[in-house]
Amino acid sequence: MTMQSISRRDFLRTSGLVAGSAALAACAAPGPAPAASEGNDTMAAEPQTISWWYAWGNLDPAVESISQLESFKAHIGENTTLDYRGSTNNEAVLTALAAGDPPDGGSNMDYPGLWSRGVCLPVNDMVDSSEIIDPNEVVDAVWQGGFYGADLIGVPSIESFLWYGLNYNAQHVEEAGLDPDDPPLTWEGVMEWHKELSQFDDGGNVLRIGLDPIDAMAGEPDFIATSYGHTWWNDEEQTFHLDHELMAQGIETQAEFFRFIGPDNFAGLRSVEGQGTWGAAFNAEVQSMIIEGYWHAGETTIQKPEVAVHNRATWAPVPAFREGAKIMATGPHMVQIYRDGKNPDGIFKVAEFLHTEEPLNIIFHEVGWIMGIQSWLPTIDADTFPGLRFYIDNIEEVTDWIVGRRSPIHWFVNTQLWDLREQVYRDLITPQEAVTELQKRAEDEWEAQGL
Amino acid sequence: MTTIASESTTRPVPRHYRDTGNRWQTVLLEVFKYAVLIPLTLSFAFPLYWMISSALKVDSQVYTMPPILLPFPVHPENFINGWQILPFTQYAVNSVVFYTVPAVAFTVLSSTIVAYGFSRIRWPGRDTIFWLVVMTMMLPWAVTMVPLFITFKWLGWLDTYRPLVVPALFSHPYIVFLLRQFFMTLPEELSDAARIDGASEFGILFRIILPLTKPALAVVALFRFLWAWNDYLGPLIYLRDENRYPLALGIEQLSRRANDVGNFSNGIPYLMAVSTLVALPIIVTFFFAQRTFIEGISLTGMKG
Amino acid sequence: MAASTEKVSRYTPQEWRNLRLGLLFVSPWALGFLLFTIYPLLSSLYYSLTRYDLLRPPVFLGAKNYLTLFFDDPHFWNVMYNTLFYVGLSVPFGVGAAFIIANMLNSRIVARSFFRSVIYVPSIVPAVASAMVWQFLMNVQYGAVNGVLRYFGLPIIPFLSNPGWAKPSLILVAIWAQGAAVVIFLAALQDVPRSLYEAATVDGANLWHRFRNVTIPLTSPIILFNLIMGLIVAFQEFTVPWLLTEGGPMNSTEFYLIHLYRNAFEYLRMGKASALAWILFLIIVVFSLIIFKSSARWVYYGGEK
Repeated sequence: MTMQSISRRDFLRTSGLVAGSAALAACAAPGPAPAASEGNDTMAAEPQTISWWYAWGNLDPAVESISQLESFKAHIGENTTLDYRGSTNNEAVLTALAAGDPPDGGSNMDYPGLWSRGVCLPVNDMVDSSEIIDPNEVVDAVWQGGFYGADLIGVPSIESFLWYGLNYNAQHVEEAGLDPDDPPLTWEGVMEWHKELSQFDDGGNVLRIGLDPIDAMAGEPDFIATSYGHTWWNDEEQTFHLDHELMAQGIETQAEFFRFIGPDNFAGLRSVEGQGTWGAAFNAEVQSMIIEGYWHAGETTIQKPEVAVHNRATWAPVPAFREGAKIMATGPHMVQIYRDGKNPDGIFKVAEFLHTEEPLNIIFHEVGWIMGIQSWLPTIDADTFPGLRFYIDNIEEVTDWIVGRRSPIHWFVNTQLWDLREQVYRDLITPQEAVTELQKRAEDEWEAQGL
Repeated sequence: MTTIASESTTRPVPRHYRDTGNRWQTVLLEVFKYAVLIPLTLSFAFPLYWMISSALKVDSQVYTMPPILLPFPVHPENFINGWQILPFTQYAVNSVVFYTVPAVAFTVLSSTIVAYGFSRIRWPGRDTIFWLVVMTMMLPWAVTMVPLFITFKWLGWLDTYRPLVVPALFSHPYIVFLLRQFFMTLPEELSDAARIDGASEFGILFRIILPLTKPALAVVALFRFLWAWNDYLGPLIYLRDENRYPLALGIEQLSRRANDVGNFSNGIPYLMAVSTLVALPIIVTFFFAQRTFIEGISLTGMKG
Repeated sequence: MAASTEKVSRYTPQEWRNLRLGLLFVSPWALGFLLFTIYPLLSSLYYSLTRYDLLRPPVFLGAKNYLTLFFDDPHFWNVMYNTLFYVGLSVPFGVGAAFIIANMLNSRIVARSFFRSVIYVPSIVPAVASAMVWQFLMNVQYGAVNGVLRYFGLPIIPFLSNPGWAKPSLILVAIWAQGAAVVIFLAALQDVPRSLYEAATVDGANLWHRFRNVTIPLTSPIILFNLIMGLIVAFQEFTVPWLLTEGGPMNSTEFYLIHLYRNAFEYLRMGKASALAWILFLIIVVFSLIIFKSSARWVYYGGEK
C-alpha cells in the first residue's frame, strides 16, 4: 500500500539549492545588490492602505523599521500606508476570509491549505511583469516550493532558508561533562545527551530537559519522516504514505525521550515554559537542545543574548542505521495575496520590496532571518549570531533534501500526529497503530475537505 | 426547648440547653460546623488572595520554594506596568462603551417592555406563549452559535460588537422571566386606576410600574453587566482586530505573552495584576450592591 | 371554519384591544425569537446536512455528518465521554456541595454574610481572570500547591498535565465557582417555616430526620432547578477548560463545546459543527426530561399548587 519513495522531482528541485549555494560559496566577495526601483509606478492620488497579516510575533519591529524607509514609501506610493498585524494566526485569516473582508495579504499561514480553498490569487503574472523580483535570484528549491501545478501561490519572501539542525547549549553540555565539540549525530547519541542533560530535583520533578523531541521543527511529520529516510506525502500523485514502518519507528524514538522525562512533567513544562512558542524553553535555559533551523541562532541572540553565546549547531539526528545521512529541509515563506483583498497590487509591491537589500538586511539584523536570495546571501556574516555558521558552511554536505510542508493538509496531519504521538508515549497505543490511524485520518480529511 | 443547631434563623436565638446530652451534641456540632466552614471558606478565598498577592511580587518572589504567602517588599507598580504591556485602557473602553453599556441598556429596556406584555396586560394565549420564553431559557446557546455566525457574517457584522449587542434589543428570556415575576407581584388595581384616568400602557409602564420596580431593574441590570463584562466566548468568536478586544480577550493575549518566557520578566505578576484589575469592578460592585446581588440570585431560584 | 368564527366571536372588543397591545409589547421578543432562535435552529439543521467551509458554497451530504460522527470519527466518542464525565461529576457534586454549604450557613452562625460573600464572589469573578490564577496555582513547576509539596520533598500533582488529573482538576474549579447555587439554596432554606422544624423536634426527630424529612422536601424544587441549570451550563462549559488546558493533555479535556468551537472556527467545518450542535441539543433535552420525569417522585410542591 505504501512505498518508500523520494521523488525524483523533489531531488531535482532541491538540487537547485545545492547548486545555488555552491555558487555562493565560490563567490566570497559581496555580490551586486539588487537596485530598488523607486516609485516608477503611477502614484495613487487617493490615500490607500495595504493590510498585511502574519503569524509571527517577532517580526513587528523589523516591519516597523521597513515601513519607515524612504525607499519603501516611495515604492508603495507616498499616499499609501502599510497596516501590518503580527501574531495573527491562520484561524483569524480564515474567519476574515469567510467574512469576505480579508487583509490584502498574509504570511506564515497554511499556504497550501488556503490555496486549496481557492481564496488566493496566483501571482505568476505579477511576478513575470515585476522589475524587481527575479526568480533566478531566489534559491531554486525555495522558489519552486511556491508552485502548485503551474500556479505560484504566493510570492516567496521574508524568510526562506534552512530548516533542520540540532542546536544546543554548549555550557549545559560542558557542565554535564560532555564534549560540546563532539555532538551526537544519531538519535541514539542524542538520547545519551538527553539523559545526561536532563535534571531532576529530589522529588523527581524535572528542572531541565535535554531535548524536547517535538519542539519546533521536530514536531512536524516532515521531520521525522526525513530523519528516517521516508517520504509521507507524494507530491506528484497527491497520496499519503503515513502508514509506514519508518514513521512508526520515528514516533517510537521520540516517545522514548518523553518516557525518560515523564509525560506529565513534559506537559507541565510545555504549558508554562512556552514550549508552544518556539525556542522559549531553550531561551529560558530549561531545555538544552532544540531541533529547528538556522533562525534559532539569530532569534536567540536577539531575545536572550546571554544564552545565545553558548549556542552551537550540528546536523539534526538520524537513526543509527542511517548514520552519515545529513538531512535538511527548505521551503518558502511567502506573501500570499487574497482574492477578496482590496489592494492586491499594493501588497504585491510590499512583497516586491522585500526582495531588495535594505529590508533583507533589516530582517536579518532585527529578527535574525535569512531569505534565500543568491546575490544577497554572500553579504551575510556567518558569525553575526553564534551557531549560524554551521548552516552557512555546510549546505553542500547535505545528503537528504526535502521541500517541506507541501501537502495541502500538512497542518491537519501535523495536529493529528501530535494527538496520536501523545497516545504512544503514554503507552496507550502502539506506534504501528498510531501510523495506521494517522493514515486513515489523513485520507478521511482529504475526502471531507472535498479535495 | 427549641435549641436546634440547624435551625433556620436570620436572627440569633438565645441559647439554652435542655440537658447535658443534647448540650454535648450541640457543642460538638458547633465545633464541627466551624471546623468545616472555616477551612472551606479559606480555600474558597485562597485563589483570589493568591491572585492579588502574586500581583504584588516580582519573578524572584514568584519562583521561590516554598511559595511566599505575604510578599515583602510589595510591588504595586506591577499594576501599572502590567496594564501597559498591552493597550488595556483601550480594551477597557471597548468593554465598557461598545459592549457592557449598550448590552445592559438594550436588554433592560427591551426586556422591560416584553415582561410588561407578559404580565400586566391580559391577552388570550399569553401564558401559552410565555411557555415558549421559558423554553428558550433552556435552549443551549451552542445550537445557535454556528448559524448566527453565518448570519452575522452575511450581514458583514464580523469584527464588530453588533453580534453581541444587537440581539439585546430583542429582550433576553431570562431577564424577561425575572422582571415578569416582579411585575406580577404588583397589585392589578394600580394599572386599572391609571387606565381609568386614560393613561396609555406605555405610560403605565414607565410612570407607575417602573418606579416601583427599581430594585428589580437594578438586579437584572447587574446580571446583564456581569454577563457582558465576563463574556469570553462571544468576543472570541466575533472579534479579530486586537484593537477592538474587550478585557477578557486582552487578558488571554497577555497570558500568551507572559508564558513566552523570552518576552519580558514578571510575566506572572503582571498577568495576576491585570486579572485583579479586571475582576475588581465586579468585586467592588458586589460589595456595594451586596443586597441586590443576593436578592437577585435568590429570586432566580424562586420559580422552582 | 365554524370553530374559528366561534373563537373570534368569543373575544370582546376589550379583549381584542388587549391582544393587540399584548402582542405589541411582546413583539421585540417575538421578532428576536424568530430571528435568533427559530431561524438559526432551522438553518443549523440544514447546515448539519452539508459540507460548508464558508469559503465555498455548501455541498449537500445528507446524513453523512451524523453517520461519520457516530461511527467513524476518531474524537467524537472521546469528547462525549469527557463531557459526560465532567457533567456527571461536576453537577451532582457542585449542587451537593452547594446544598451542604448552604445548610451550614443557614444554621445559627456568626458572620454568616461574610462566609456567604466569600463563597459567592468566585462565581462572579470573570472566568478568564479566575482561569489565569488557577492555571498558576495548579502549575506543575511553580504552582503554589506543588511548591509546598516539592518543598517537603513530596511528589507533585500534575493537575493539568496528566490526562487522569485534568478532568478532576477542572471539576474542582467548577465547584469553586458554585457560589450562586449556594445563595439560591440559602434563600430557599430561609423560606422554610421554622415552625416545621419545631414541630418535628417535638415529635422527637433528630437532626438527620429533620434534614431528610423537612429540609430536603421543602427545598426540592430548588434542587431541581439547580440541577437542570447546572446541567445546561456544564454541558456547554468552554472558557475555563479552553484557557487552562485547551482540550489537552491528550484530549482529556476536549469537552463538547471546545470540540464544536474547534470544528466551527478553527477548521471552518460549519456542517460538522452544526451536526454536533444538534446532537448536543438533543442530549440536553433528553437529560432535562429524565430529570423532570424523575422529579415527580422526589420534588415536593407544597402550597404552590
